[in-house]
Amino acid sequence: MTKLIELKGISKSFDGERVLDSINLYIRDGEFVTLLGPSGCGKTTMLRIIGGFETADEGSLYFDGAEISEVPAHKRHINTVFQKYALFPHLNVYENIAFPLRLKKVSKDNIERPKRIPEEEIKKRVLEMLDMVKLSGFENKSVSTLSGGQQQRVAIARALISHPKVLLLDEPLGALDLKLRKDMQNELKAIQQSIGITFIYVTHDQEEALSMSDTVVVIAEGEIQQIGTPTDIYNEPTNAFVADFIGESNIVDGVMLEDKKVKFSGKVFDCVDGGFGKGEAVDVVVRPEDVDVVEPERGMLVGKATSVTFKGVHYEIIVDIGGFKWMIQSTDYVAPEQTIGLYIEPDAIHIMKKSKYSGKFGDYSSFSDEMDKLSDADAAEEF
Amino acid sequence: MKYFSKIYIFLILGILYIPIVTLILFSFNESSSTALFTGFSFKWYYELFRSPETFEALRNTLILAASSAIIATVIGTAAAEGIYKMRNKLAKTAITSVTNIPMMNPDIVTGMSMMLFFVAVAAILGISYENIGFTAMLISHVTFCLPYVILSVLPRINELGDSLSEAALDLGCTPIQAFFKVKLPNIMPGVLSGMVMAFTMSLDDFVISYFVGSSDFQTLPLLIYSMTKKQVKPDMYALSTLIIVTIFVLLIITNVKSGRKSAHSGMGGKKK
Amino acid sequence: MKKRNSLLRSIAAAPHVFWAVLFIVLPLIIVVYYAFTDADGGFTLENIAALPEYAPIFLLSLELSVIATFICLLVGYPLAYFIAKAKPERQKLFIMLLMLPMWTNLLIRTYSIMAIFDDGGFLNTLLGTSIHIIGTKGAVIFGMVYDFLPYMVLPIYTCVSKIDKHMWEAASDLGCRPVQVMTKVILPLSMSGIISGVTMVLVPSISTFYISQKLGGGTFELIGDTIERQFVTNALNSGAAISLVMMVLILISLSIMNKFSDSEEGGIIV
Repeated sequence: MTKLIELKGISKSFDGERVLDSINLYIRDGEFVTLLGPSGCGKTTMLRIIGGFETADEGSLYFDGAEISEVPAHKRHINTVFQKYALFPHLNVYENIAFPLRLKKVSKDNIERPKRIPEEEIKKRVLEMLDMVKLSGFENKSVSTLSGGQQQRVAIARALISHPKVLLLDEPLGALDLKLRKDMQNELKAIQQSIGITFIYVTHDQEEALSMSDTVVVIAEGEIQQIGTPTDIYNEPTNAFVADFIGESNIVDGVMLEDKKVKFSGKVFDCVDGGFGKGEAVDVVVRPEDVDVVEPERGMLVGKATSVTFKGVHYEIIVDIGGFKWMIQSTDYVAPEQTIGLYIEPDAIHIMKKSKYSGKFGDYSSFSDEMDKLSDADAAEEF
Repeated sequence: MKYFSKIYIFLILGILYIPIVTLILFSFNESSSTALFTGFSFKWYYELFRSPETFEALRNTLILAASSAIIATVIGTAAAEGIYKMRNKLAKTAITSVTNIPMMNPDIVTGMSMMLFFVAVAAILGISYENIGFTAMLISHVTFCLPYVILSVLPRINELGDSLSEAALDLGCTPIQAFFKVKLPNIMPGVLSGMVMAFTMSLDDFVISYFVGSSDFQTLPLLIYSMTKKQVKPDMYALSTLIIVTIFVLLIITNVKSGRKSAHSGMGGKKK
Repeated sequence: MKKRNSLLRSIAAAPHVFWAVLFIVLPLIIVVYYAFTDADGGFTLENIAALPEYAPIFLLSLELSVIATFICLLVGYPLAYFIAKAKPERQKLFIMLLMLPMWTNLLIRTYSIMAIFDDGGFLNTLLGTSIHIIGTKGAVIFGMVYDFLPYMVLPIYTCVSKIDKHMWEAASDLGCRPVQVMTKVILPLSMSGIISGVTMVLVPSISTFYISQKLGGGTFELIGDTIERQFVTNALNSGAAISLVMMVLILISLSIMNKFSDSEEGGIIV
């Protein structure tokens, strides 16, 4: 696969605030790439630069090997599905989808003067598109009468009808409810696989990113934190930020004693990572689902459960170990205030180099469900 | 409380209408008295329609109002789009402040400044003021209508935001196509209400026309003014009645139309 | 590249900017020019120096228009408030009824009042009396109130009708007595409407000449009459000087008032 889009040293500031800081990234043809990060991290700006709605202050943008930094949006073979769909309220479903075709003039051979696309062809292509997004029969409806999910489909059909090489999607599922969101995730992925073009998808929802993408780009504070497949990103986070942002993580300070031996919480553990200096301070990540609850005497670590919450599939247990609160997910019930032992397999321990995010994440001492939801709602509203 | 508020509303609105109703009543008076109603007749309407002056003034007023409304709408809509796109806050504030001057200034000052301006222009061009009468009037009317058009279009453009235009650009429109194919249809209500407002403002203007106008271009308000200078006969009442009825009908039409969309947005205010 | 782009973005405003400079700014400069020259075009401060003799006229205009504005506020606020609290379909009707007189030509409105209050007018004929009303300050003030009341009501109405209806409930829930709900919550929230209403009544009142001509019965001269007289008698330099001072005073007070109204639409559109 070839590099279709490449960003070289892209930087952008708004009112003196640096939103993107020398971003380098390439995206291959036919890939489903997700730009993932919290609100305000710069991911939407990045998308808008690729789409041609913003110009970067520094750096250059390449498409298929040619620089397109100064090419205006309407001349790029890149189309966008906007956050709130941006359907044209004065046009019905059919006319919204047909819109790009009515602008185009094509010449069959190069001698003839360019002509408008004939009405029959427009009709054929619009109906095909409607069929693809499962909205056949909706062509004469007004877009304002459609549900959020249907508007979404119209926006996708409209963006795809002129066969762009890249489709940009800016939090397209943000306005939909949970159930619909899951359905649309599958559908989007299916559409992308059937037409085989590049999708660049922006979201702050890590689950969405993991389940749909070929490649995930984690962004924070205007910088790329990690690029990798969903499994890489989840299993091998490069720093505390990524570990915390993708799924739940317990992140504790540790010291590498030697390869495959790490000391944390006052104990020495076997692990599978190496390549660190002897005695190097590191961040240790343990996922809540990778910890087994055992009898205190068999436990590698011992602590008291401070809160237990039923989550349906499992219990979420907060365990106090020497003042540091761990989150454990277990299918076995543990009574609050009960002393329990924790057992961790070597391959469940992931070691990361110290970064500027060390110590900021991964402690559940101030954790409560309610707060988590509140902050999620805030993040969603900012978009 | 409910009763009190109802009574209050009807009382004040009632007082507002007494003079207008009296005026309409006496336009049908048989005698020339404007104080004593002696009998019903259409006499003053006949008299009014017999005078060529009335028709000329009516024609002038409509031509002036229509052309200044159209020019102000075109310039003003383009201006609103340009102001919206302006990134330089200082330039933006400067332009809107200058635009609003004719709206904030007393009409008499605007009229005076316009008149002095055209006197100077006529002097420089070496022609008589009478020869630029209509042009001077048209330019003045466009100038005081512009802020109203901009104020009615700009909020629509702000409300619409960039997303639709960006979508249009994304789908292959040139910036010009994006404006005409997508933005304009969606800000149309604002453009139309701006145009209606400009039309009515121009139709209604007396003070500025009085200062700028010359004797060869008489409008209805100027005609009314000259009528009230002399001994008033009910033919002026008849003319006023016709104007009031026309405005009433226009108001109902625009309100019924805009009423379908929203209760408040179709409403235009003016300062005169 | 950047620079050109940002200029190009706003190119649509160019005709308007050109228009505004030519037909708004330039005429104002000419007013200044006339104010500082004599009839032959020579520089003089005489027009400005003569201004103090118009001070009594100006103060009278100020007095009458401030009283009229105050009465408009007193009468108009409750009217606007009650309309805003009426049923939505009634509100539309009331506002239309209020707008009709507003869109009726000022000359017609003023003249119809005169016809009623004239010495041999409708009222005196109806009552069989001969009360002398035209020519009093009261008549001029009444004319101003009558002519400009809708301009006070509409912005206040718009402002009050935009206040969330839960405000009333929240205020009383937090312990406001009905009077306190008004003074502590509703009145401050409708301040921007009041300010634009006051502006829209005060400016045309202070500069009117037709109302004082017709209802003042020739006994008063307001500042508008002075300017108009100078226009008719072709004393343009002196007229320009008065216009200039009036404009400066009004624009200064408007910008002060706009500072107090935090709302962006402190302007004119209702």
